[in-house]
Amino acid sequence: MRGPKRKPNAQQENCITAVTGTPQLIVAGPGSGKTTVLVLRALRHVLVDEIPPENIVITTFTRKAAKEIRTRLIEWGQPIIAEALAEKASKLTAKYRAFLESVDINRFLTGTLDSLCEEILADERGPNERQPTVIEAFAANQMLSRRGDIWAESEKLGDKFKDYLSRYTLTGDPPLTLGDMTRVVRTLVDRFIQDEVDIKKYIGPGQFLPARKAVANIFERYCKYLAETNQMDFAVLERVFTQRIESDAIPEKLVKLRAILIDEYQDTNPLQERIYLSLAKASKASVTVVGDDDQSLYRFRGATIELFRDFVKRAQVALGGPKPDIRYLVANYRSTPAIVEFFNAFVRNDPDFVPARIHPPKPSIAHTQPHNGIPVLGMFRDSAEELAHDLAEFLHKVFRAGGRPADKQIPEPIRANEKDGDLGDAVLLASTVNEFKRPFMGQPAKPRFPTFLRDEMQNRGMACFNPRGRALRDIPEVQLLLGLVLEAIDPSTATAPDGVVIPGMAVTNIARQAFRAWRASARNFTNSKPKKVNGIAFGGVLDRWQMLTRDGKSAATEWPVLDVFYSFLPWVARFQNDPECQVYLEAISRSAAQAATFSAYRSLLLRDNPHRQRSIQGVVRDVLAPVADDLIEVDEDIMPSVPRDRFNLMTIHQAKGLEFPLVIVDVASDFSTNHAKQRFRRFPDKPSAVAVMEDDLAAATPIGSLRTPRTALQRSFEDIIRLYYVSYSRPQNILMLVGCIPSLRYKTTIKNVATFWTAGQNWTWRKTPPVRPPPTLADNLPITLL
Amino acid sequence: MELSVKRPDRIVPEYSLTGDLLSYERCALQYRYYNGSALPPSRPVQMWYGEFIHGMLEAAFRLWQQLKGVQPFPWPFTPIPEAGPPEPPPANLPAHDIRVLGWPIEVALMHGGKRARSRRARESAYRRAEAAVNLLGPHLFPLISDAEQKVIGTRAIPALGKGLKSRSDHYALHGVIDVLTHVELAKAPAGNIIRDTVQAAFPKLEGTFEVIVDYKGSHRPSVTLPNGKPNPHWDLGAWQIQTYAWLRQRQPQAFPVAAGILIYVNELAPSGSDAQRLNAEIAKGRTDVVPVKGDDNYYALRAWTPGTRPKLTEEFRFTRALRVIRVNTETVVQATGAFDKIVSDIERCVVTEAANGSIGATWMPSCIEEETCAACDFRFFCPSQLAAKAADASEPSAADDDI
Repeated sequence: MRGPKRKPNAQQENCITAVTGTPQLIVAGPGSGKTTVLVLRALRHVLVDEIPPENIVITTFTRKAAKEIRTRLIEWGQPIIAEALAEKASKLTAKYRAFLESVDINRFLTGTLDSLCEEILADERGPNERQPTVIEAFAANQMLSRRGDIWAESEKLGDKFKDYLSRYTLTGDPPLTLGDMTRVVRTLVDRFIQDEVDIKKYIGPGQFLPARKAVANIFERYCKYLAETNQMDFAVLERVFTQRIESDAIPEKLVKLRAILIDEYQDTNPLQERIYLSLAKASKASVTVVGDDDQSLYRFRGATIELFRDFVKRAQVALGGPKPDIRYLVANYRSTPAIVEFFNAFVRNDPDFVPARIHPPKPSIAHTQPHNGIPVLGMFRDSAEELAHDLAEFLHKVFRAGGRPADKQIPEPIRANEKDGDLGDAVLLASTVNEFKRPFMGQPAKPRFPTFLRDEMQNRGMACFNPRGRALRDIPEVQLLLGLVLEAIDPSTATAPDGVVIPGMAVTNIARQAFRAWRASARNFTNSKPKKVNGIAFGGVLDRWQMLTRDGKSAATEWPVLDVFYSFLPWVARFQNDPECQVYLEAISRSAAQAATFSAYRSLLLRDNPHRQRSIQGVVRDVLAPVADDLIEVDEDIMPSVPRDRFNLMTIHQAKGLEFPLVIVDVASDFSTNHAKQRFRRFPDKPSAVAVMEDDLAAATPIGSLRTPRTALQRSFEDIIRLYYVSYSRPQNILMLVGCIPSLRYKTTIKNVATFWTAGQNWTWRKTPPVRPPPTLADNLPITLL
Repeated sequence: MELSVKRPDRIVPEYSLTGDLLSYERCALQYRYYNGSALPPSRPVQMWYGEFIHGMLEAAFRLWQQLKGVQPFPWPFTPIPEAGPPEPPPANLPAHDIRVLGWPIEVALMHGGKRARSRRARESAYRRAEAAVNLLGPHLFPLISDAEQKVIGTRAIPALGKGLKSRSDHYALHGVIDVLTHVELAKAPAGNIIRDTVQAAFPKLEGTFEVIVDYKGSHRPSVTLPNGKPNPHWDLGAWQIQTYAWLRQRQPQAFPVAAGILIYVNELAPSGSDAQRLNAEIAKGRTDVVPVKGDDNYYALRAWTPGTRPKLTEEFRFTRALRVIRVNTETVVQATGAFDKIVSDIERCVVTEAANGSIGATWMPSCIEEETCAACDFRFFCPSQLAAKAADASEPSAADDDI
């Protein structure tokens, strides 16, 4: 179903027209038109139920998805109303006509739950009440670290503290740096709020008690600081909003609420569920939730799949009305029959996954698109380098050389659309798109498959788009710009190659190494005798800053460090012109702007000592070191669109809700041996950190017992199944799995959920009974190898 | 088998009247970096001042409403200390003291990374806020029916031309109307400066109607530029009111909008640099409100010396501060059409950049004011001549402390 002109199928129609007095749970498979159904049901509330749009709330998971919903409401709703009003007067009653004339489609309350909470709280404040400030992740983590005094707690307890936190790191290793510790504490404190953890129970008797008390103290100090300064992180925002709607003072905007529609409900956390159900109870609004338990990906952010699975029971208890209806959407309008059969088989593969799914079981997804003659493909090679070479060659043939001709393996040619086809029609999905492995024991970081692929694509005149592939600190343009900033604020000399101020500061070794690399880049550039731009000499700019920071010579007493950043842009041309580089520039300038909210010197450089040196230290510690320590995330949403001539690499999480004609899923480019450190990504032998955290907090939270009937290890397997289910259900025309050959060997020891291994260690890609003598490759592959 | 083409994202772009359209009109290239790339300005000085003034007037109105007129104007203003960093006001001050009203606004701005550039700038902002509250409050507050009203509407995007296809057929336009007055305006007593100003401009105005009021944290713009050409910002202010009127009419239970008032807050408490600017504009005949030759204001301006503030009468300051805009169907159609064209220009750039992958080849610098270039973070590589002039300074630009 692609728009209002196509008639909804029977399942969709049932969902759109279902009674409003009974809560509706719509379980919607991939490509089944769930957003369309949600939007049409919202429009039905207006056009049939005569509810003004301002009394209807529609939430979804991301800002982008919210925009899409809003777009559809406008593009479909307005013509329908215009058409209805254009009818002869006799066809509409005067009352209904007056109602339609008063309808403004723009006034639906759409957004993410957080954005709506923020907007409503801001609108509702009293005369002398400050506008609450909602802080972004970076600033929030810095405040947690400082105001929570994580370092002091760590110093006080030493290994006891780090050992406790190591339970919740990806690899199980203790966190080494303050940044690493903060990341772990962040997940804990968010959980405290989202899972409504009883802190007294959390610090009850048991293992790691001193460390748990330390975390509780950090949490208390952090919350106190936020409350005193009227700031909120997203979890606190939700908690404050909950308190507000459960008090007598329901926000004015919600007083007349008549309908609530929630998209992506499978990724709801317990506090969000409470908000929705409290709102529904207080307003008696009609409730419709849409989602797919098989596509829940955000356990690590508190998503609790059980809330979706048990919605019928939980909503009935909370709302006290009729038993909610459960409806299924299983007709797939996206993918070819071969692809649908493949992901259906995948999600049914492991019998141990069945109890984790919704009951009664969702029927298999049904294909509606025609066959295109292309089976699900696989490309497996000895090494990641070879795989990158051959995959780049494949893409080149398809998109640049008129197409891949038919052959024995695939009897159909594959080519891009002759008129408008380009690399933007394809995507590589992977659980991680990092271009380098983490550096280990002082060794330089080793390149991964995405690096090899980027190089091979470039060799063939094709470009990749992978803004999350490299840490910001490793991007050449970032290195140059920040190297120039370092040279400007703490100049190096022959005898002081790391500057004068920085060597005396406590920064991580990783940051120190990054600073050296940045300075090297800046010195190379300076030695290249850069040309004047707009009549401005590069040396003059650098000298001016050095005179301020080294000698205290300047007319003004203080300078924002962003002035230093921007003054060097004339010599980093890609920051001026390249859309992809804007993503990096935004991230590093955001680091400076956000530091102004928590840093002692507010991202300023002061002219006079002793503040001059301290302000330089402030900039290094609060603006530059976070970039060097990889604490700043890029936000590619600032780009309206990715240029069509670039090949996209994205994580499976990013691809949620998207579709592409050609989807290549990296299932095994990293796996050439059965290395223990990689197992958590393919076939865990111990529970994931987040599942352990759920278990550890279970006794202290009302939601705990809902999660623990399945073991932490079972839940860890579930997460991997859902991850690859999402990736396998993204393509429209072609799905291709790629990886290294050892994963496919008949006698492989590399167990991998993505290649259909079950938690019970069965592998359906081998025939049963086993063949003797065993073949080299698995002999029951559901993919056609290239 | 031919691969499909990936369906382009279908998004109705959203534009804010002030945040996007007026910014784009200031300079297209600057708009691309600040709005498109979300790059933070190194010195959000003007942003701080504008938000501070709006926040003060809103907070003062809400308190006045709560106090039900118990505290007569003028409200007290305890000056900010002459030394030390910004600090909370003393605990014993009453809730309607300008310092007490201002502090939470300053704190919220600080948390957003916005602060006054200097003590002088902060003092100046408080001085202007005090004038705005005490001069405007008695006349304006009793007429207000709603404050900070969010408005939104959808409009068609005009064709982009050159065979370009826009991202959507429509765009959503939103804004915040500072103040709405309606029938209360007609009931206001004679001597109410707002009522008198509207009536003087439109003596035949009758019936139930609304007047839109928009605060501007700036001086009254000149009608023409130094080169003699019309000042586009003069028209933009009027268009903004007309477009708010259109947006307002999209709301349920809205009365017809008959007029708008732009209030240039700086004119209520002019500074030395305002006097200098005004003298220059009067000399070149570039401004529409001038003192009568020989009256007190004439001499106050002619005899003004740098380093002092001009002693202008309250009446003259009000006349400079208030600009009444007539609103009717024709003017609304003209103004909204002008903004549609701006949206179409922006969309053309967005689509063109997606195809050619170059910002510099797509978004041209279009700034006409030196002061905009002087405060622009991208002046060092901007190809425009004005920017080159601003970038030529030996020190990076410092915005005017006096605001």
